[in-house]
Amino acid sequence: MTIVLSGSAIELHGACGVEDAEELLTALEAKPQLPVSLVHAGDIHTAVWQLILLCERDLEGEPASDFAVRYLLPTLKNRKVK
Amino acid sequence: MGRPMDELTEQFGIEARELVQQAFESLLALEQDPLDQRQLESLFRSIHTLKGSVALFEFGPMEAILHRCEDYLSAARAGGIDIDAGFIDAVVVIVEWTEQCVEEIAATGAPSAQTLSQGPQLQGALAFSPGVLSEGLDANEPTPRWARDLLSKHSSLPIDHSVIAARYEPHAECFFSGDDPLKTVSQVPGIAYLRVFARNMPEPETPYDPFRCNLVIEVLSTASLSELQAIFRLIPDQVRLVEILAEPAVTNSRASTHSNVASSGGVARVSVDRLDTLVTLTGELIAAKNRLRSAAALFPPLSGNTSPVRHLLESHAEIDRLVGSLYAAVTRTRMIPIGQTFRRFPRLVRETAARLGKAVDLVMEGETIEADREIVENVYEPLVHLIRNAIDHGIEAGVERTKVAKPERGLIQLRAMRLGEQLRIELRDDGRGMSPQTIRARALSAGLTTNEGLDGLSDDAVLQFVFLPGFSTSEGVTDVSGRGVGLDVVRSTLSALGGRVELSSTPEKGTIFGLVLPISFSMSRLMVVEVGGEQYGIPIEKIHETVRVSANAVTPVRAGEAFVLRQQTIPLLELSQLLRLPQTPRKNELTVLAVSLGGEPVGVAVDRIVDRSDALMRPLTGLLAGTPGIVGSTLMGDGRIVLVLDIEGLMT
Repeated sequence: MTIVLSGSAIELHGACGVEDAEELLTALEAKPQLPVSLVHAGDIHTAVWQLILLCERDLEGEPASDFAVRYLLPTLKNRKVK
Repeated sequence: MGRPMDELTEQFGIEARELVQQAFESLLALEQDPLDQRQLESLFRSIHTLKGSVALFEFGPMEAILHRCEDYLSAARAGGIDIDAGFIDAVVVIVEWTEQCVEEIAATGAPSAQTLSQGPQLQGALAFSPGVLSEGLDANEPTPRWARDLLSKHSSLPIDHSVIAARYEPHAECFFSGDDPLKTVSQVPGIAYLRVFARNMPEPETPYDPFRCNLVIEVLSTASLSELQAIFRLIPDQVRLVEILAEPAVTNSRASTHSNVASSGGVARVSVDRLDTLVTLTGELIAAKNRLRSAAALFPPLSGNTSPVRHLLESHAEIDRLVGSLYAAVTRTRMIPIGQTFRRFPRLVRETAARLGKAVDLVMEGETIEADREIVENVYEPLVHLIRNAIDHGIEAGVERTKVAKPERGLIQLRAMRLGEQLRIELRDDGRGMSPQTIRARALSAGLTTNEGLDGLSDDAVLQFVFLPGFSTSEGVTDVSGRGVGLDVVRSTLSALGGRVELSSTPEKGTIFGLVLPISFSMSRLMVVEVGGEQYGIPIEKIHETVRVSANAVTPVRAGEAFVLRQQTIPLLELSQLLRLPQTPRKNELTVLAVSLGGEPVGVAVDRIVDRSDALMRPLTGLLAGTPGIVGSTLMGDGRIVLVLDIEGLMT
């Protein structure tokens, strides 16, 4: 995975493995105001989803995974999804 | 204290009886084949649905006890309890107790305090270790709070579809094992609802560890239990699967308590009262149709195609045809399979045999043959009596059987056959049979006959003594049978249903009872006769012929009378005497009905023959049911109700 700090969002790119959780955590701590963009994300590991769930950031877009779109994003619906 | 019976309670009673019966059937099938998973599932569903139905009411500990039983069955389904005699006995006790409760609810609206108080003690038999929770099935709490809560979050699930609720709590270190819990869950087919939440909220002061899993994933799936078990097979310790069955039917009926007709899949449950009303109305229509013909007879005979009488008769013929079709259709709606009565017998045989310490198998055939509801239901009591007798007095103890080279287990065969418009139920046992010598001796000692009376009687004829009141072949009164209710009651019940009972027996080989009954209370052709100013109906098939006999031709024979018909001397009886009516002065010429008694011709004198007509004969019910000598009643064309006589019964 690549984490890109675009200035307006923390963007997840490609498949997100378990090891990316640590990198995302660092980014979240570094940019406490930015939303997380899933527009360019592929499969996302549970460790990363757990962080997205607990950080309570606003979310942007949808990842490529149909399962995530249909079942996981609705569980985060209290979050602002742009 | 009973509560007022409302329609919901009444509906509960009907459905609960069926569920109890199903549970018993599954238990008996499991006893035969403990590996029959289908029967275990059926048993579980019966108990589950019963529990759900009971939950709509306040029947004390019933719900909790059924819940406990359901848990027990859940554990058995998960393979944690062996399906053995201990299992069967434990569940049978609960189902029997439930049956008792249901019967009391059906009678008074609530189970009695005494019955309810027995319930909690019965649960002791349903002991199992929590260690049986295998394959992720939670036996202690088959429908735990989390699963119910999950279901409540997703109300659009079809109520007629079972769903699996899965709760996956991954180990905190699971990421190090290479697990990706959400990826695993994504393989679950038929996801209806999913939610993910943190097991513990992170503490602000503690640094977040991104490699420790702190999630709980809950899923509702319409896939099968086995499919989910396969997906989670590598992590059974982290997953709990609960099957949530479709809502019990009674819950649906609550929504329609104003209707006692519940339909499902093209089959309607119609109250018996409504069917009876249809039958009664059809009977009245038959009577009205008969009046039409009587009315036509009042007109002088006219010739020609335009004659009003001819039109009337043509209309009568048309109505006759339509009424016949209507009657056939109405009759069909009352037909139910004889299996509805037969299904109660495996349990009876099991219990009776167990109480007597005997091993008896029951083989049933022809359960799908249909007969009128009243016939099917009323043949139960006579069959119970015969089956108990067969096990108690017919089938020998195992040791005794092996000595005479018989299989150790006794065999009872119950077979239904349809012979034209008749239903024949045959009950065979392979027991010791009946000894004509013993019956002769018993008949003499009971004062039922004399040595002269027995002279010349064939063994078959001697067997018929067992149907006389006061006759018993049993050596002693047992707990099971021989309580003074004899085979005479079986015969009178069959007779009241318009049937008869036949008996043949071979010493050491066994006994066969044949119960012959009408398939339905068909339109009977009756001869209406008058005697002592009263009119009675006699089924025409019982009358061989009617003859006029000169009073002079009647000769006294011993204590009775006789006359000669075609060179044969025939005993003559007065119907007024048989009915204990005041005797009318004898005319010069007697009207005599030739009938048969035990195959021998007998003449029965009546005052006059009034009519021959079609009539819908109904068996007597209530206080009149089982009245000796009367098989039923019928409505005549002029609106009178006429009793229909069992002419053979009157003469014995």
